Order: sequence, then structure tokens, then C-alpha cells
Amino acid sequence: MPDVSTGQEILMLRPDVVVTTLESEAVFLDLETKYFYSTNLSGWAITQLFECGATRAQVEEQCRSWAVTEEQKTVVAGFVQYLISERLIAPSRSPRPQAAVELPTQWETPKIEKYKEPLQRIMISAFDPTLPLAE
Amino acid sequence: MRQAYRCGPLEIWVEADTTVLREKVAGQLHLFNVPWRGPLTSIGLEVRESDEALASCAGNYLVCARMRVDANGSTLRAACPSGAWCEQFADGVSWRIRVPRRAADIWTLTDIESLLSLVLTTGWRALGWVPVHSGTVVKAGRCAILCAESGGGKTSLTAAMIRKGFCTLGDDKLLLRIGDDGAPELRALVHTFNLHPKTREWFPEVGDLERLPTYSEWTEKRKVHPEAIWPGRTLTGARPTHLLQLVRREEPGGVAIRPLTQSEVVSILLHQTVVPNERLTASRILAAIVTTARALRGFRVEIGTDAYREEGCLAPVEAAMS
Repeated sequence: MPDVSTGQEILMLRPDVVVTTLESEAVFLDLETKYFYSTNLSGWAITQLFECGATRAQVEEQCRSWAVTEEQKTVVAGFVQYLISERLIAPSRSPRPQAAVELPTQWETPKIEKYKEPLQRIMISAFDPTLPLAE
Repeated sequence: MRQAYRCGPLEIWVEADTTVLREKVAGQLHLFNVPWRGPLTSIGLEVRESDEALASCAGNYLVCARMRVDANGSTLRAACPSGAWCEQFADGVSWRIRVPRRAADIWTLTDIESLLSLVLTTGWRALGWVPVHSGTVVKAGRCAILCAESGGGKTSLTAAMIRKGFCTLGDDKLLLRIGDDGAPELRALVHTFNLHPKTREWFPEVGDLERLPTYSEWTEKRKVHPEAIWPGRTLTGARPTHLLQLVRREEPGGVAIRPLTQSEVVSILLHQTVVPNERLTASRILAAIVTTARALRGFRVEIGTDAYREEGCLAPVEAAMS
């Protein structure tokens, strides 16, 4: 895994991670690993910071503007570390201009759930996603 | 000569150059026998025998058992192990399929099915519909999406529920989209059931299915239109309200049911559709599936061996959907 310990490395949501947002959550699908994840809105707000590229230090700064408590900052650091360990975000040399990310509701402890069963990599047909039997 | 086939919201104009190819394509496309309410989009499809080969595909868009599909800019092309291949033209609505000059070979015919499924699903997705490999049962404004692996009992449960007064959109092929009002909407594609002859032991009215021809080398099931057995029990569209995950239990006994969590419903429904690796397409599918899943009440339904012999075995399912 790349060294991102300095906090200055730019991290970005991988382009093959697609996201959909609902009223109270966001769901990510990693098209490479086929795993999918669900996160609450605070988790989504943090993840959005990486859509254009952000350092950990910038995330900390953003959390200050969201009035995140010191205790919660540790939770945020753990959340970011989880995104790194799952390779949902990765070091990038080509960040884009950062758009403002608003915290959509009141702050809550960011949570992310990884679904147990990834989608199939190989399927019967373009219609039938069932895992094919060996011929 | 061009022949038109209506497959959901698509009108496929096929030009095929041999009898074998014409019959194969007709056999596949005639399966989509539900009339479509609304405008149709034309797709052109040319199917020919040819010595022309396609460089192998890596599968960067999709990998199936017998087909690898690559995205090349905004178009797709696919190659199969028999040597059959297809290519989408830049207009997005024209395709060509090429097959080696031994089209009657069983593997070549199987590969033509795979290529046709790519043409259809690509067309449906382009119109905003998500193909879903599930059955349905509908009654009194409640519609359950039935989810199970192939051979997992979707058709049998559908038949059993029909006998309890339910209707159906079909037993394994649907289209899904989020309507303008933000609510999920399902449409039927295929009303024909794939019924195993043994089904007669539970539902005598299906009759002797063994007198009908098998439709594939790979299964004993027969194609039967439910209207021929249970008149008035097919529908063309519905709003889904429930999801039932069917699980076969290899022991005697009736039907056991438990609620599913919202996360389980998302996961199960996402596993009922094919998600290609292309970002925009995947995003649209993910949005439609997750939005739908969040609107559903889910239940896991465990069905014991010969459960349908027991009168009243479906009471828990009916109660869950009431």
C-alpha cells in the first residue's frame, strides 16, 4: 500500500468506484473488486472530499469547519484509513479543483458497511447474472 | 428480407442470410411476447455467416460464460469461443453479428443467444430500463419481486401463488426503472413460464408437460404460457412493494419466512442484474436498484421439499404481502 502517512499525499476516489446517493445514505460499487458499500451522510460527505482529490490534512481542516469534535476527528481518521485499506481512495497526481462539500444534515458518526457478497465477475449472459456452471 | 421482432420497448429489425440463422434469431426474439405500452425504438441487426474474424475481446465491459464484451469508445463489440462475434455501430442502434460457416453447431447457436442478449440489454439500458432476472407475483396493489438463482424455485412459487389468486409479470425476465414520480416501475418482457414436468405433481392443471418439446439441450423444462393454464393471470406492469428471496430447503416441510434487513434487500436485488464495468451504465443501474430496494419490504422464504403439497403452506407469504 502506498505511504500516505504524511497527511499531505493527495488521495482520490478511484474512477471505477461508482456512487449513488439516497436521502440518508450513499452506496458505492467498486467495479474492479465488485464489492459494494453503504455509508451514512457524514461518511458520504467525507468521501465526497476525495472526489476531486484531497489530503488528510484538508479533510481535517474541513472537519473543523463542520465543527467536528476532537473525539470524532479520530473516528474520521479511522474512516479515511478504511477507505484507503479498501482501495476506494488511492493516491493521485492529478487532482481536480475542489468543489465545496456541504454537510447535508447534522454531523453523525461516519459509518460504512461492506456488503458480504460481491457481484459476480463472470455471469451466464448479459441478462442473467447467475454464476455459470462449469461446462 | 428484413423481419421485425418486438422485444419490450425495442423493435428489432433483423436481416439474416440463412435459414438456420433466421430460425435461431426468431426463436430467441419471439420469447419476448408481452405487448409494450408506449413508443418503440428501432434497432437494426444484420446476422450473417462469415469467415471474417474479430480480434479477441478482453472483457473490459463484461465477461460472460461464453462471451467477452469490450467497450470501444461509445460502442460495444463481443467475441465468443465458437468464433461468433458482434459489433455495435457508432449510431448506437445498429449491430452486426457474424458467425462461422457452421452455424448449426450447438455451441455456435448457444453463442448467438449470448450475442442477442447483449444487443437487447444494451438497447433496453439505453432507454433507461434495467433488465432484472427475477419473477413477480401481484395482488391487490402489492407486487413482490421474486429473487432466486436459476433453478431456485421462482416459477414454482409463481405458479403456486397464481393458484392463490395472484397475477404475474413473468417468472424470470423484467425491466425496471425509476418513474418520473421517483417510484420504481416494473414491466413484463416474457410471459412464458419454464415449467418442469414434475410440477404436475403439485399443480395437476398444468397437464402432461412431457408431451411438449424441450426448448434447450440443457434442461427438462418446457415453455408454457400461463394464460393457457390460468387465464387472466398475467399483467404487463406493476409497482414493486416487496422482495421475496427464495431458498430451497432440502428437507420436508412447509414454508418458513423471516424479514430481511434493508441491506440484505439491496444486496439481493443488486445480484439479480448484470452490472457492466462501464462507469455511466453502472451508475444508472446502481441508482435504480438501490432506490427500488429502499422502497421494498423484504422477506426470506425457505421452501421445504414438496412444500406445495401442503394446503395452506403459502399462508406466511400471503400474510407478509397483506
